[in-house]
Amino acid sequence: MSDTDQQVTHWPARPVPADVAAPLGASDTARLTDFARACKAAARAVVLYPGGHPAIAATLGRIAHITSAAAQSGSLTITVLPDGLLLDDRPPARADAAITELATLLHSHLIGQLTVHAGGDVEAWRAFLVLLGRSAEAVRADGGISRVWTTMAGRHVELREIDYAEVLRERSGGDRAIWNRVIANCLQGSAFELDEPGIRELLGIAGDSDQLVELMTTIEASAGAAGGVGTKTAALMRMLRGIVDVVSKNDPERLEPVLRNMASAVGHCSPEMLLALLGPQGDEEGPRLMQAVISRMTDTTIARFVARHVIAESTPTNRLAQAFQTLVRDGDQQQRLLALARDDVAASPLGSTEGFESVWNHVAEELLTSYSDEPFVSDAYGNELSGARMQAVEVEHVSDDPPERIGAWLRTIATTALRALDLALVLDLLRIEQEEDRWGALMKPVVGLLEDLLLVGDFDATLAVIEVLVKEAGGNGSTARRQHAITAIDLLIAGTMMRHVTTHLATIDEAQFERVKAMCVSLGEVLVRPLAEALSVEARPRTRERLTSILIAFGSVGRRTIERLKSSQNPAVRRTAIYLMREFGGSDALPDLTELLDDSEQQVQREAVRAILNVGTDAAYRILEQALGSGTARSREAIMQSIGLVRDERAAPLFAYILGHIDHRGALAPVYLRAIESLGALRDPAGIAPLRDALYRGEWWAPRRTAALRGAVALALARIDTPESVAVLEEAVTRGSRGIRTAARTQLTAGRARRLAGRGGNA
Amino acid sequence: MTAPRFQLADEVLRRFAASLRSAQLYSPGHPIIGRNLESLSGAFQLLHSLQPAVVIGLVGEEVIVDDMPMARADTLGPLVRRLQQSGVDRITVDRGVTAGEIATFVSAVTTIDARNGDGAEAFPPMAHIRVGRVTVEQRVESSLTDMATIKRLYSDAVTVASDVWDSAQSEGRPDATVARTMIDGLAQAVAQNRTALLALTTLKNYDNYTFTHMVNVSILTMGQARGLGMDGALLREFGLAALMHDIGKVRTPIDILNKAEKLTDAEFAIMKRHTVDGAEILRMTPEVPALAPVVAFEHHLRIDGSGYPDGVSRSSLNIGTMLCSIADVYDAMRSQRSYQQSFPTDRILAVLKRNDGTQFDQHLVRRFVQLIGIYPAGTLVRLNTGEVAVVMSVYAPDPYRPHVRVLLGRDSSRLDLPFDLNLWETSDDPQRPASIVAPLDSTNYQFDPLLLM
Repeated sequence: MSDTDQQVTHWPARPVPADVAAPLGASDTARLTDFARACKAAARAVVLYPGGHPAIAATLGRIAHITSAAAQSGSLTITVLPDGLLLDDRPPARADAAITELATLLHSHLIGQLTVHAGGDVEAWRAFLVLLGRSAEAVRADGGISRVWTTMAGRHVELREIDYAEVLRERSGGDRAIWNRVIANCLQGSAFELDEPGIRELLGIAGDSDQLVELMTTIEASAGAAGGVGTKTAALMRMLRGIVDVVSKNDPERLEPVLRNMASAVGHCSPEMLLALLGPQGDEEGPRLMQAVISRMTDTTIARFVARHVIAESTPTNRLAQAFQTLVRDGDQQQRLLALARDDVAASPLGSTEGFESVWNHVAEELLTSYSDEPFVSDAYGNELSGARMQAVEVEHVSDDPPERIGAWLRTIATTALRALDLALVLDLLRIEQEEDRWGALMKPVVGLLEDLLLVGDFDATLAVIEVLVKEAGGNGSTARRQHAITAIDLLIAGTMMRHVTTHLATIDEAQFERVKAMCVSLGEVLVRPLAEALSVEARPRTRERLTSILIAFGSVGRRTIERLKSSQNPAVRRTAIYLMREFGGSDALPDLTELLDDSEQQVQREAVRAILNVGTDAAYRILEQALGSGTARSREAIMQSIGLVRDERAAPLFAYILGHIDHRGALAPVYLRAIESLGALRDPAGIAPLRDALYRGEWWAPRRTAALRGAVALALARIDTPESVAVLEEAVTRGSRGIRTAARTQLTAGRARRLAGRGGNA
Repeated sequence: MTAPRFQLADEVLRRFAASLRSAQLYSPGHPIIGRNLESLSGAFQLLHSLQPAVVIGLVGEEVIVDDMPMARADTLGPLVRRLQQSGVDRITVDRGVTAGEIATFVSAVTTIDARNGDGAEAFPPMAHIRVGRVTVEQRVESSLTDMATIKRLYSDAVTVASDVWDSAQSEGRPDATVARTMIDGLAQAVAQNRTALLALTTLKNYDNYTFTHMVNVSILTMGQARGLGMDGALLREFGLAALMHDIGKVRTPIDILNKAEKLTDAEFAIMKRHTVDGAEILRMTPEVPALAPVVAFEHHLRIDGSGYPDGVSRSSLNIGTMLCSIADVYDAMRSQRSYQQSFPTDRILAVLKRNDGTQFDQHLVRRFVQLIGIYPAGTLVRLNTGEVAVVMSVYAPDPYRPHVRVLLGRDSSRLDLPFDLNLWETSDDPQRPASIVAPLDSTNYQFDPLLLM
């Protein structure tokens, strides 16, 4: 039953004027229509739109204007009917949808009369219309619209609410006579003649399936007291026919809903009563009427009919099975309706009892199979009854299209296909749109799309869109378009792009990575800084390595990132900065590398030293010398350790430089000594000349230190062990001072012994 | 939560967002989905190395992992919305969760919609994932079996269509929220009482042509989609896309839009822009589903490559575009506004079959005929035996012989008790009506046949 039907139900006692007066004149009709339109539009706006929406201001302004003191003389007294409005108890001259809709809205809140005083402002109307916008149930729960409106101190509108308690009191008292007369008519078989109030009452009953059920139950009970099923059937048939007659004559437009209500009410009969109604009636009218009623029984009605009686009896009776099979002859439909009924029964207390499933299986079996072979109604009538309920075959139930074809259609909008369609659309729009402003307006969704694609890691699609932007940004097109493309790229980069890229860098394969790299590089140097920022906070080694690789792909532009990276909190990132400096090469990096020589992390320092060594110029060595000279003992030690760990020829010039440029005395003496040792360890012939110079250094007043120094130099020369280094030692033995001779001789002797031992071993 | 834990939790959320989005954007089995799920699984493993269970909760718009509010990254917005939509307010993922369970869960989150009444049981049971759900009460509509209710629904839809049009015109983008609410109602009606709703599309309303056309095309498209088995969110997407298919016309000059005579080439070129304009408008409206701009862009493209926008080609058309195109052509011809004269259905169907059926998929056209019938539901018809009846529903196997309700007798008198007939059923009785001889104009009768359905 629809809400509308329920409203109609109570209408016979509504506060409707006894005699509906003549229609309004044209101007009053227009006045009422204007009011209804404005009120309805504003009511819609305050409910549908957010608070500041311009539609609200516009529509509220309109209603406030037409009810202003200037526009409205006096008050409007509007009577609310379920489907219309009366102004001063007179209907409008012509119908208008807005009047009907406003009436429906007001009536749903049980407003019977509305008096609109002139002068309500926008806020007052907003308050009233917001109240109307609340669900009727909620307002009723708060005490009803009249009470709520009173508490809101609404002044510009006065409400008169329908008192349904009074209405019901009226029906049970004043109109009880009519109700009884209807019943008496049905029971006595007299002609179904009713006066005007009786007809109105009957129309009200017919419009509400609940009342119809009540009436049928009363008649069935009253007739049952007087006779058997035949008496009851006759009484009910008289009632149904009487109602159809009255409705057909007085309000034929309502026949359809009335028949539907009858169908619903018949579903409340007992199986015996239903079968009796379906059975032969002795005239043609009965089957015709029942056919019309049965044809309107919905699947739900039939399923509930079954469920209600199963719940009541716990087991189906033969009569229920007969009724069910008479109503539904098609096997498939019977199965379907039983499934619906099962849901209803399962929701009842019976459904929660143990073994419900087996009980229900028994019920279903009984309903489907226990029916006697003897049909309750003739086949012809049975066919007619079931034909009346037969559904037309709908398109989805014809099997003209094979599942593969339908599947192929549906695949065209599967998610991946839809993504491809969207991508194609965006690319087409970017290509087709010629107007610069509109092209520019596309940038926001384009950036959104790119962020989506990057989020999920669809780099092929990302690249396709980015290529368009890059082309426009660097192309020969219009300035405006180029600017839009550049802005879009900036927006993309400033957004979540790097976050998404770094998320995926750790996991994507090499091929995907190459696409990411190509994409990043295509965006240009504007990406270098964000890459560096991402790299500077990145902890995952693989991601760092790939970010570095991308930065390197930018070439010398990538050097700009170093400043940021070398100040990172993360030592690994600072090492990456050094790595980048080494990759980019050249002596430009020396100042940055110099800073990192003082890094708190030894590993960073070592990397810096290596990078400086890699530069390999005098300027680079000078930096190290200065660092050694001016640094703390700790940093000096770290640098020397770093240098000492270097085991390739690149370090030899540095050690040579140290021997040539720093003082072998004082604080740097250990550094000097370490350089001598390192040259010996490297065995690089380039170290011979500086070692020779060092061999001849020394002071007579510091014999121990001088001896240690010369010993170390002689040892280093001996370790180099080339003819040239041996020649330097031999020269020292013959031409050097005593101390020098001693140091050189010691190493030459030891060397000869080693060589002899080596030969002996070989022999 | 310590810093590493926070970072790992952040990683989980990011991976979750990416997995969810990829499952929404790509079909099952796509490698991108697999890659994202694998990463999510890895992220969970890392976090589980520090704690036995991870609890992800939603508090309003905030995402909480265990007891820690996470940073409000933009990427989490869609994740939060999707979780809210599926009614999830708390997810507990235990150590030992398998990649399969994660895949199942992500897939469920993308498909389950609490607004459709999907309950907690909609989530498949998973040994290591528990889902706490908020119950969203299912909206209960009044009965949609009553023609008066459906008429009101239709009338409201036309009003909303005008609001949607106005907002697109004045604000540059249609009010998708209002449109969506309206489409929800129509989709429900299409699912419950398609025949009655389709019958309303036969009403001719020349004053509100633009808006009734929007609504009609939406209904006709959803009717076809329903016939293909579509339901729920997908059906609503079709409805919304079809409703907005001509929204680009808000940018078309009014004199061209309303011109009764044939358009000049220059005017037609301007008119043709509405496909591009519509796609742009809708693509810039975030709440609109992805299908809508695609349909707006393509609805004048034909499967033989003809049509416009010029210079656009598609190797094949998607089903949304094809259904909307058929509905668009049918409704436009049926209501032929310019000449105040509509074509009978059989002539319209002939157009859909023209050029040897190369412009429209003929299987879809056949299905459309089976859906609408040669005499659509709601049409007043004269029967071969002289009675006047209203077509109640189409019998798909024979669109010429629908289910009718006889309203007037052979003498044109109104029957006290109208009766129903299945014209497709044969009978030996020569007095029994067997076929329709002509459609009738209901305005010549003193009753509304739709209210007698």
